[in-house]
Amino acid sequence: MEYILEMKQIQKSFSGVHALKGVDLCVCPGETHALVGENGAGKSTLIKILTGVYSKSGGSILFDGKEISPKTPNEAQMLGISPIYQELNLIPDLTVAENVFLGHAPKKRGGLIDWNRMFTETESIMESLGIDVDVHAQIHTLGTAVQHMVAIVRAIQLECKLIVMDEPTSSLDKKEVDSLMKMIRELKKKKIAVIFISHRLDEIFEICERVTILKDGEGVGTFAIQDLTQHEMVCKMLGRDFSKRERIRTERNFDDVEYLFELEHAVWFPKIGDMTIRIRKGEILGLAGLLGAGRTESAKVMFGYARPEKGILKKEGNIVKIRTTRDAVRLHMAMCPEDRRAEGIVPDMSVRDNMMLASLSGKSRFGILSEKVKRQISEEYIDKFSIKTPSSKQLIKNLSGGNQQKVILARWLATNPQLIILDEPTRGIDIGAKGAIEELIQEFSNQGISVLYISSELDELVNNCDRVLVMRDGRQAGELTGTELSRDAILTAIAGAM
Amino acid sequence: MKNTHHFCGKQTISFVLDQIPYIVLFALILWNCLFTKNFFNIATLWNASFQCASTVIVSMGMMLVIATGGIDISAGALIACAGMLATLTMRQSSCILGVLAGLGTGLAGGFINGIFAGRFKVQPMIVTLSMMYIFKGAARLASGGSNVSTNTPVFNDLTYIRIGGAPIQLFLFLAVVAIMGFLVNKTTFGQRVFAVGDNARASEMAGIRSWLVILAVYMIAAFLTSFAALVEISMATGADPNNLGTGMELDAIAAVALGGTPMNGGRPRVMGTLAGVFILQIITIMINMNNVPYAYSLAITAAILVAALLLQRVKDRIA
Repeated sequence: MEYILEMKQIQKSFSGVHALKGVDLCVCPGETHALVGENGAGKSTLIKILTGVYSKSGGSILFDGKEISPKTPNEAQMLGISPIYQELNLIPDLTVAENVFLGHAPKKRGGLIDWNRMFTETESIMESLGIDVDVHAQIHTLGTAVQHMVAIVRAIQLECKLIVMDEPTSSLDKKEVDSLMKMIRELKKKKIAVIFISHRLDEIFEICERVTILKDGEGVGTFAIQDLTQHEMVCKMLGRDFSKRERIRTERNFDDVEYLFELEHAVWFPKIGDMTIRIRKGEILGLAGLLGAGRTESAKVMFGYARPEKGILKKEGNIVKIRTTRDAVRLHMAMCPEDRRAEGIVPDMSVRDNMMLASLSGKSRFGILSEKVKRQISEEYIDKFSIKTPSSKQLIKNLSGGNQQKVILARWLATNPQLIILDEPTRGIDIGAKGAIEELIQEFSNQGISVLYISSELDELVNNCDRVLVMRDGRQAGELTGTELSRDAILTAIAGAM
Repeated sequence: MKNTHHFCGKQTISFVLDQIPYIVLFALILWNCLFTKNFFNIATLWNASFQCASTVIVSMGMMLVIATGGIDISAGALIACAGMLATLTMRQSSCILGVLAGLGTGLAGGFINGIFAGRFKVQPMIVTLSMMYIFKGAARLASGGSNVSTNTPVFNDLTYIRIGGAPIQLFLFLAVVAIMGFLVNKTTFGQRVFAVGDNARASEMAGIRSWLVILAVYMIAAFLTSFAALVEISMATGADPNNLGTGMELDAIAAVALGGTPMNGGRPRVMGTLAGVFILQIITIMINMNNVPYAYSLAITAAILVAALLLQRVKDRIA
């Protein structure tokens, strides 16, 4: 079969870091091709190279039989490659037709816009796709799904041959997803190829013919959908073959221990459907699931950073009010966020001041935190956690990722927490530091601190946790303890085969 | 090893860049000592303190606001409003009540600025722009549009107090700078301001209620501004609703920017801001004493300001 797009051995490195190490992606005309992989697998880098946002460091791209290397998004668009991002680039106050023809409105002689032609042409494209939308309506009055369709219509108007959809369904409800699926089928009839990026496996299995799986910047392979089960696909996405570490968690029975925190029936549309998390004292509870399953969101709800539509939080059996993160700190909760740079560190502050940030109220007197206390605490933790820094006055932004993470852990340990929520605590940290952080986490639990451990690294969850909850589409999809706890069991639950 | 070396280089450059306001100030002083007649004289210092006291006081508040990533362009209009309300109250009742009225106006205005910018997350530029109109309007309404004098000799005479030859204004602004230095560098509040400005999301994640910090910062700024208004009306023995404080907010913003406080939030720099005000003041003095038209001082200020902000970008780039 002739391919419309052949990307061969694509490589990309960012200042020495190899984001893509030779990836192949081939798409047939009219095919809906899924592109899957965990965070950091290289999906978006690959797509950005294709759509001219990044330039490739190596490899070749054949599109429609010609070798191309688009340098700007505009150039890619001219060639017939249209990306549709999660955040749609439509102009909310313009009408549907104006958005479809944005930048190249049909003109009458003399340069005036030919409004009649604009509206009728938009209507005719809509009709051919079986969409019924008022072309005079302003974009902001339409639902997200319809906006996606308008973006697609714009791509068709530009005579594109390949549409790239990045997580098009992540903010849509079931009915909207169905109508989008219907539209993608219409695109197939028009021989327009679609690269479909999604974390929702059901959708991929419903609409796509083939799937390319990426992992750690390398292609795992391209498979026909019917040759794969969901379980196999998740295995290929998450399956990590590097050195398997030992389980470091000593077996303990928590059945008789009472619950410390209970988050009950939390609903936060559209990320969390109905989630209950109960953590016992001193327990390490893992939270597994694919990206977008609602793990981070659950943690944020629990910590008072996000306010859910429904749900209650109990501490030691009593309902407690939690409206802000400050309430969480008062309840002796702590949180190491997933995005360390955006939500963890205060970059221009010293290591010492970063460490004291959560203790500003707790450890000060009359609004003053003495330098002596600061020095004592920061030096104690620098020593205890072996943080590599020239001094506690060094700015935190000059430290490595692993050491920054240790500072954040120290920040929370200094508040004497009862529960620590860790969201991907080892992300972006080199192997050696990972081990050290895992050991610290075990140490916390030995001191009686409960830990909610969110991770995409299944080995880490299996090795460190007493119990693991598996999330899928904003709900609990499984719970594993003791001997049931294994990589395969988690994978099975993620794939939804339980 | 190579890596550590690299960091050292960066840190040296960023340390030197941090010293720029002082270097510029020193250079300006030196140049004037050498080339401006009668500049090297204690009277110049007394005059300068007389002229820049209220700008220093307003700039200290502005610095806190800018450190949280905000801006307060209502400061100049607040001087007119607080000054006018204080003057009118003084005429009708007592000196003390007048002072309280002035400071109260500041606290109330700062509260409104802070609630909208902090709690409701409206753009600070728009919030304080609206307040600027309100303050200006209130000042004119209250006075009927004409100048009003305090008719309170006790209050007017405060301006002429000298301690060891130095005007009281010098001590007032030095006191404000000292208090601000303590607040910023020694208290947990200072840490919160820095943290919220540098990374608001991380601060929230650490349990800091950023909206409260922002509210406090706008209230402190407006309180200091109304204090500056009292200094102004005492010197002028009254309030002019149309001109009092005009452009003060811009001088303050320029001083903060020159002083090296990051314009999009971060570490508040007290001494830098003070140096910033002095730089602006010396440019004005230099122009006056050399009989150069005033417009040139604006051009020189503009050039120095743009250069300062360019250097700030350089610092961001290398860090």
